[in-house]
Amino acid sequence: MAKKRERLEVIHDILIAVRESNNSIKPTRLLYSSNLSPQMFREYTNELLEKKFMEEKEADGKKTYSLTKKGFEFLEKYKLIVDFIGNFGL
Amino acid sequence: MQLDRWVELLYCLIIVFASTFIYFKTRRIYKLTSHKGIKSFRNAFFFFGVAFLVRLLAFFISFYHISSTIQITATVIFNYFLSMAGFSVVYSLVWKNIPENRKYFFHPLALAIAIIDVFTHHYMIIVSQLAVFAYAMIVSYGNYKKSRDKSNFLQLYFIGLVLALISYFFNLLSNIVPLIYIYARAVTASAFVIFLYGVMKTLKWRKKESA
Repeated sequence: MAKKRERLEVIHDILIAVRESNNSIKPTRLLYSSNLSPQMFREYTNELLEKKFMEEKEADGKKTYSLTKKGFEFLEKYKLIVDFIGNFGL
Repeated sequence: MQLDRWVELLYCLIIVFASTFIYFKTRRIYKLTSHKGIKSFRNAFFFFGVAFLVRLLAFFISFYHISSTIQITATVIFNYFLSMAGFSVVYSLVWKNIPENRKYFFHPLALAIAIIDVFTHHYMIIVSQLAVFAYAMIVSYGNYKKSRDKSNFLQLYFIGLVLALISYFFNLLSNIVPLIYIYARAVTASAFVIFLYGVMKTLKWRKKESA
């Protein structure tokens, strides 16, 4: 059985999915890419929007998500963060 | 100034510097992640920093022969923050297995230890910290054994915790053989230098790589 993803890993996967879609992705596509249940997906996206890792945009009545500067910074520093947590057993 | 005064001053300065550096250097990664382990790790060094800042202030105040009430108050504050630091180190290692509300018991427990210590000739704080760091050392060793990457800093962090434990043991012995206090101070300072090195190495090395 696959190992349950840690919270930071899930956030990383969501942000990567947004970045790899030219930084603009529809919620339904992001839900499929994130491999989460709809309820968990809502919780994570709400958190990411609240903490300003992503922003919601609306064009022609269609909602899309994009990364903010903070979201890009998280991805840039992800390896460092994971190493830090691993190095100190946190 | 006598040798023991210089040792005390240098020892406090090293710990205050290392703790402050670690606390501020890890600020950004905590802000980005809100990771509970990182939060508790930072809290530990915040508490260590405050404890030794209080000790430093008490050190300077002692030149003016201030009343014993102030000295006792400073000792209680120092002990409280030192206990909280120890608890935070342990919590940073085991937070996944402990319900979050349990950590609030640390405050009254640390306060109780700090007050009781005054009446036990400093045995209470030393014995409690010995227990706390022995537990932290066991958990850290378990983390190292479980880790697939044996080359990482986990081993050095474990050594740092062992040194912290040894320093408390020396502190306990210094009640019988006073001269041992120098070794206790040297070992504690070395543990903090190791923690500082680990944080600097992990964060700075990656900065260079991403540049």
